[in-house]
Amino acid sequence: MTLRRDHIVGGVLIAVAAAVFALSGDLPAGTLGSPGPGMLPYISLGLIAAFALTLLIGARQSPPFAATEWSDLPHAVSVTIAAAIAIAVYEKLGFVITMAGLIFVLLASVERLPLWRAALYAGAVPVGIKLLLGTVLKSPLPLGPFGF
Amino acid sequence: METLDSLMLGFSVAFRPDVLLYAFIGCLVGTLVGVLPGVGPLAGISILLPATFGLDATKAVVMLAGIYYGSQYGGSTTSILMRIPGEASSVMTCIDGFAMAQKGRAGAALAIAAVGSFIAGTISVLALMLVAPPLAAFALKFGPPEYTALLLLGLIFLAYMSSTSLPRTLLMASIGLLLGCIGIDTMSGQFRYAFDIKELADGIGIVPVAVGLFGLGEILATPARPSNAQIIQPRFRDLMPTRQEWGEAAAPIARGSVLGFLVGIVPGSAHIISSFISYALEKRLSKKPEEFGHGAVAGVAGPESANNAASTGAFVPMLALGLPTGPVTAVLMAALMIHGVTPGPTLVTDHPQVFWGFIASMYVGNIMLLALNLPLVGLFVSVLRIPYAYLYPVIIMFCIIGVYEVSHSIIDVWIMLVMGVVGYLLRKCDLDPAPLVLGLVIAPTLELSFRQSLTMSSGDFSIFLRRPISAVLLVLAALLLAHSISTLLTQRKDWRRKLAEAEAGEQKT
Repeated sequence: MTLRRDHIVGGVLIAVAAAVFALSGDLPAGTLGSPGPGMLPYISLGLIAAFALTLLIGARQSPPFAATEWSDLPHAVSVTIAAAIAIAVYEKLGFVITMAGLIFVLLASVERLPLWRAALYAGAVPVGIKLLLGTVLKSPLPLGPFGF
Repeated sequence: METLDSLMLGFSVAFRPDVLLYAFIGCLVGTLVGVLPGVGPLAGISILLPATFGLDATKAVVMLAGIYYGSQYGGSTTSILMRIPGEASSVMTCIDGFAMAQKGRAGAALAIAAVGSFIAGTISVLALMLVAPPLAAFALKFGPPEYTALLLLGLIFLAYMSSTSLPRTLLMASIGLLLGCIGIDTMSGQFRYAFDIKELADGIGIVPVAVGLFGLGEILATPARPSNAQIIQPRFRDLMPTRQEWGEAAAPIARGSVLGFLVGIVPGSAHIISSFISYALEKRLSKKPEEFGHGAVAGVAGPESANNAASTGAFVPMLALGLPTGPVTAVLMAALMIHGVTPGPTLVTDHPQVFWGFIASMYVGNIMLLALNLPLVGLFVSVLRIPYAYLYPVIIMFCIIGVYEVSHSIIDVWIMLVMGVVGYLLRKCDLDPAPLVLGLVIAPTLELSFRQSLTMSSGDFSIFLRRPISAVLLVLAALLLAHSISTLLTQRKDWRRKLAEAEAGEQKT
């Protein structure tokens, strides 16, 4: 049997619905006359499982999972890791340092652009945005250890 | 007469210099968002949402709505000059717009698209002004059962109009409903799925989810390949269409305006669907259908007018009923609520300055967009010359700022990142994230009205059928559902399947 895209989608979502249901142990569904806080979550979980099952049953019509195009995955993983690191240090290092670092890493490491060009761009853009948002729009941005 | 007085009040708000400034910023950013492929109006609105926190509700919604309808104008530029739809609703404009450009009529195509958009935008604002207040007055009769039925109808309508299959759309909407249940239950005060994270007590915000799914998700799915697409740069003196071209454009613009507004009112990606329907309609009505695909003026005028009218039509249910018809109106609703204004039947009476100021600003915004799009087309085209490798790091930066600034919560930014990865995976699995956002937005209202209805009737479901308005809405929902299921079971190719195939085919080229 060929493993198809909707086999994976349906299977994963049924598993997720079952896991969330297991986590909802103490959530009371209430009665029809007095619905509790668990009623809509349980209905939603039931619907997710039902529609995921529909996909699983009709999976024959979906393309083979092996045919899914993943050539952009390395780029997506690199960008995600860089963004995750930036988020982790955003409040500690402040806006300017974090964003300059993020842009530099993406340009120099992921896009392989010349270092001087990446450094120039990474230095100029966050400072410009900081001036625009902080000064013109009065939108406070996190400050780093050096006060900017 | 009362409407005219109210409109005058609106214009007194819209012509204030500060409101004009924010309308201009919205229109300018919207045009840029429309021009840039990969940055949709939803990402643009979400990212700029925090910049509105220091503003009052009127200025905030005027600016954010300007981004929405401005993006419909801007989307045509790349479609005509590069055969790349800057915005999904401009897909149909690529066909005849680019063909006109290749014949040396790029300027005329841009002018027809801009003037058509302006006329459609103005006509549909007029219709919005006439339709929304009476609809809001009617909606004051709605109680919990009617709201439950209305929201269910909205979800079913979205699934019916969706270009992906019914189970896929409803699956995504159900996930959205579940995500909408996270946080404190408003009726019992009990925590749900918050896992002792205090930031989750208020639930998952719309902005992190929308920015993650549509902003970051799009970036993850778009590697920065060097673009070798050729850009045709029209000269300013070539912008004037000939008398014959104006003649060929007049009727499609009129038809596109009416059709777009009507399609815009129903939930779903109306601005996208309306342009497809308009193109098909114009081709069918044309005396020379063989010209379509080879530079037919009607193939540009109709769809461009329709998508603009639809984006305005989508404001009718949002303003009058408090019902978002898609993710963009959902984020606009969230923006209003952040500013203490709840869209819905009482908006016209409780906040007349916001409602009528917003309507009047759309008249002004359409004039601004016409003035922006024609003379500055060269400037917008030059934005396309910036390599994507330089653009996307800045977009990621704006995603992080945008989400963080909503409530200064780093948890929200992590949610955005997770949603970005989810959005990337959803694209790989051919699942549309828009119903998820809609489900998330309507979940609190749907849950409250559903539970109140059952409490009112002591658990008797017939309450939904005993009340005439909710009965009519539910019958309509059942009919749509039955039609969709029958199409699914018989594997019949109805207009929605053909539309999805046309859209997929055009996006591949």
